[in-house]
Amino acid sequence: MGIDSYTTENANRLAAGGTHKEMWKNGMYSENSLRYQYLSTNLMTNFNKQFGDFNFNLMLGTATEYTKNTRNSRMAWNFQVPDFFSFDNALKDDRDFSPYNSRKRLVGVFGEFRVDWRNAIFLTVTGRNDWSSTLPKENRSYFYPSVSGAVVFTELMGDARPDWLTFGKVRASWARVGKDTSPYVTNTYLWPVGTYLNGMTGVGNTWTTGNPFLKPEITESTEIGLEMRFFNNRLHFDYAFYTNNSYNQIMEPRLSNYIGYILRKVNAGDVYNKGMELTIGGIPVQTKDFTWETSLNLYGNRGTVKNLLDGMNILYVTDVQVGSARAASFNDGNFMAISGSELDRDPNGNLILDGNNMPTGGKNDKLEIGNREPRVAGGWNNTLTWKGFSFNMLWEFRFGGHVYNGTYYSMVANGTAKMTEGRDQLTISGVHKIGENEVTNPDGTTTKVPIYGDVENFTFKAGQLYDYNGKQTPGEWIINNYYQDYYLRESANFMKKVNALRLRTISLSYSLPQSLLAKSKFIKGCTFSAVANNLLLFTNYDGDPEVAAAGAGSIGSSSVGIDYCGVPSTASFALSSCNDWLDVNNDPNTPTSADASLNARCVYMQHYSIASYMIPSSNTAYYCGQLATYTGGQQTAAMNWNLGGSNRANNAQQWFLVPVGGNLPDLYNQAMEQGAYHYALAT
Amino acid sequence: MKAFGFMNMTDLFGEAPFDEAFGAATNPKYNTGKEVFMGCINLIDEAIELFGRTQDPSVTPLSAGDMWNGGNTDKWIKLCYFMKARWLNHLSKKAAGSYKDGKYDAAEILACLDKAMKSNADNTIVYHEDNNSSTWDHEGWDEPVDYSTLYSCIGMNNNRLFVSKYFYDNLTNFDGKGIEDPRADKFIPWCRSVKSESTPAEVKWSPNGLWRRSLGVDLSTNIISNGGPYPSTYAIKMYDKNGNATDKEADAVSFDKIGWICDTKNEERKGDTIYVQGQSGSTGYGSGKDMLMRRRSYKGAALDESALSGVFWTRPTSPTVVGSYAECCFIKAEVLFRQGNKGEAFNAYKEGIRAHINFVNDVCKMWVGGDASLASIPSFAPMAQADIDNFLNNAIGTAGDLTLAKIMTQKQFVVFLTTEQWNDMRRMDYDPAIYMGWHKPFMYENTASYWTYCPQGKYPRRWNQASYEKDYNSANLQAIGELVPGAYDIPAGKDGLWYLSDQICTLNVWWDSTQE
Repeated sequence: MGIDSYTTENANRLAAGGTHKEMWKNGMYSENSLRYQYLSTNLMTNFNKQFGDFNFNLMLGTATEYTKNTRNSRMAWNFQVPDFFSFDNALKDDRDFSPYNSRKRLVGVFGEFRVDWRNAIFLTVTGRNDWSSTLPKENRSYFYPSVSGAVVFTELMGDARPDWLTFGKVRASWARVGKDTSPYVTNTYLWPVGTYLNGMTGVGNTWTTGNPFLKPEITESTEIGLEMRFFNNRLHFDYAFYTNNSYNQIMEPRLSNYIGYILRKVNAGDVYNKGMELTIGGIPVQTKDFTWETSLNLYGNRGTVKNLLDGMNILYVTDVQVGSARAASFNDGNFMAISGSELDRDPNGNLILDGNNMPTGGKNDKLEIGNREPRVAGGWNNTLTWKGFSFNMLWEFRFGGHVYNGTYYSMVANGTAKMTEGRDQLTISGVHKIGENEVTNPDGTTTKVPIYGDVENFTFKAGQLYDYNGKQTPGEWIINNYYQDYYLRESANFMKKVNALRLRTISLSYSLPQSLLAKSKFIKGCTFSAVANNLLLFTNYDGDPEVAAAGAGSIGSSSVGIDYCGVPSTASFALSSCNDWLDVNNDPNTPTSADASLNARCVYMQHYSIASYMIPSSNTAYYCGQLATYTGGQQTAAMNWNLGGSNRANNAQQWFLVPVGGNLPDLYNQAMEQGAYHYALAT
Repeated sequence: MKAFGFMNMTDLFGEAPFDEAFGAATNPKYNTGKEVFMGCINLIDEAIELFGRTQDPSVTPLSAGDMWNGGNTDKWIKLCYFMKARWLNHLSKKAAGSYKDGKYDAAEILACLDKAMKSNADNTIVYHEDNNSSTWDHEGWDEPVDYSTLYSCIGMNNNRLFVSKYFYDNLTNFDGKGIEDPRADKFIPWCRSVKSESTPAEVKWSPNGLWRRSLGVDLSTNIISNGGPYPSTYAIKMYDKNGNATDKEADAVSFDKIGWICDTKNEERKGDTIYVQGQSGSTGYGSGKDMLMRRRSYKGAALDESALSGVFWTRPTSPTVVGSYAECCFIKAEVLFRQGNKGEAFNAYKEGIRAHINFVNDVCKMWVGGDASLASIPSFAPMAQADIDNFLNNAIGTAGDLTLAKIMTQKQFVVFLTTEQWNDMRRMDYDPAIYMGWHKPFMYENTASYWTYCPQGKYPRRWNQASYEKDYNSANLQAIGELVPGAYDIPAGKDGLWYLSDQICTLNVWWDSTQE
């Protein structure tokens, strides 16, 4: 039985003007307490029996897990005495308290059966069944088995084994693992209650809908491997080929707002990983006082994604975005890809220019522009030991795999990058579309193929005026605008296939000899070490590719992915499930959709109904020539009929489809059930 | 609410997932514009039937949860008939026939109007508050839920609302009759100002001489492309303790008021002070002392001389009109005019203008009732009955000279700043003969790059789809293209996707076409 518990306290202060958020414009202070409790029980029994050359082992066990998170957040803003961060220094209305609780329970039974023959042939079969509180009742039980076997052929060879071959083993395994999800995702919950016009109370569903049909994730993996050692362990290698495929991925993708919500947990998408790993090592030098151990490790993985949702060609594993590039998985394509935009080019690769002699395209940012997965990566470790001294050096390397340089992107956008220094002059080379050819296809239809003129160079100089969108425009503005807009649209400008060699760690340690320690009765060993990390880096990347990967706001080959590695498992049979104990998947602090009253939901929906009508109304009126505007990109575009300009399409849809639409079926069904026909406004 | 919302979706985007919306489908399939339209008509019929039922007293009364009509089912039924009439009238390009077949059904429209609002008292209007509510929206704007959406989108921003000359002229000199519409003072922004020698003669001043009304921006000139209308700032000149001019407020001990200037190097724009921006003040959210917006303060004290009035629609407490008697009258006038019944059409047209003027006046009275100091500001001051009568009797024409142009041009004031305004404009194919004094924007006429998206001779007809649909429901969106006439006549977009066409916004939605 185990208990793990800890409490985290943190405080956060935002100075006045430190955020664009209106309500925190005069500063904000918050404190959070998080208490984590984890209780587990494990009960195992072991049977061991020998029959002749066979050795049998049977292990049976049960496990329970109980995880509880409690979080209390206190927040205050709009401080009465400026810049004094205290709860008492804010009015009652400017304070907020929010509790959060989550409970998750899991019961598992498992078993493992092992048999070996003369320590040479091994077979292991395991099975496990879990019941998780986080899944819908019908799907909360899931079974997962595994089989693995190994043959130590050097044992079978007996005397025929040559002296140089110390050890040899082939192994193969197959395993399936099931995985549950986070608590409380099978229900739809309500926002906190609010006060609307005339003091009316309103409440509505949150923008995440629960999914009462979720199934557990399943991961299947196979591996075959060969391990050999030679010359009395002076040389060894280990090779493995594996596949690791995950099905029914539980993910929470953004979906069409027409579902009435923004997010929904769904089972969708399969991830296929295959790869190889090879380790070669040995002890080139071994004397009485001195040893040199070396080991080289190489690995490569290829991840692909299939069966994403209909119409969903890309899965964004994170919302982080720099410019137009995002970490993305492409359906029937790479799991670790990057999506981004490209400028339009003719078949010869020349830029296609518009009437201003500026590049075109780059508006579609859904193109696959790179893969973050390195072709090969690995490490080389060396340990030199001399008497009590031990010197260790670990090199790491990677070849291939793209990194998107988000830092460089911001530097160009803000004009701090080196390459944007040449602001006096800009030359753009490209072609113009000069006509169209009509080509007849084999099936008799015709296709229009654009004809492009010769490649021309256009130079813009500071201090001169150019015709730009019909306006006489200074060259410096055009040059500036090029770097702030057009250059950024070509994601490839910020992509790099990265090769890197890094001296990851050097350490030197010294262990006091036993002879010295023997005098003390209680010290068993004593070692002094000095360790240095990341001392050297050789790379073709402009910066540290690892920093770019994990640093703030950058998208690189971050490991942010879909969590496809299941819970490690042992083995199985059955136990009557403890249904009541597992029925804890209702958030005790948040009412679910079923708890909302007709009237409060109606008020909430009415608020968003008119807002969703008036948001586009505030825009469409500018098409009609009655209003002029100086600022406001959307309004300006509408006023001028520049229909390539943005509009409030996203707001217009979302404000209706989510807060109104997501509540419509609930209001309608509830009203009809109760005979509250006048809530017919749900139609 | 479902029908109201979906009709707005089809007005903006044409096609929408309707049958599979809000259900179990992860990727809801699209319906055609006609299916969405007819679906909304069916929903409104269902609503009328349900509102007509008697509800058992034991169940939750509508009044407990209705902030639009206070639970008054009679008003709801009128609103439903109004909606139905408004929507069926959108089919004016279709052949005559039964609305059940998606045709233009004049008789049904008139029958609906018979059961719709009969006076302003029947209007569905949401009156907003400005209390800096502690409840914020849940859609990511984090704004209080009490003030009006138009304040949020337009009114609270500086420089986002100037009136055009087309608008100004129709308000001050409709049909060339030389009689000012009494609503003109309410719809055109004002600022505190002092008359100078260079003030153009046509500028209107308040009776007490403290307030100056904006002129209209002529969108047929290059003013927009030439950096205008340049927003005015209220300038002061500050002096330090030695009597020297200073820019730092902290060092200043005294100041002179200079007045409104256009702080720009562009000589042509320096005279743009004649255009007043329609930014609104706020007592709750903006913690102002009244409904005026003061652009300049000195040592924490807002200067009254820098006040802007804002305009009728975009204040925090500007009401949101869901359905109005005035619009009913204009729908009726249009239908009757098409039927050749000029006499009845004129009565409806005149009644519509009267009803709208009275509605505007009621709101003005409410504001002035709440703060009497606003009474001397023409932007808030209630209109005089004599002015109203003079306008109605002498400025709007007679049954004999009634035209569709007058009906539609006047209707624009009634449906101003709603999508309905654009719906009408599309139905009338942006005809300058209908919209009196209107013309295409100068920038559109003169900027070739805009023609990529809206070729000359084409007009804004729909919105580009929301990115959420393009990203997360693309296969279904692409599939419906087969059923959208014209979707493949415009140049295809990237990868042959119709909805990514550069010219997608020029593609008519179903009701805006002659398609069956």
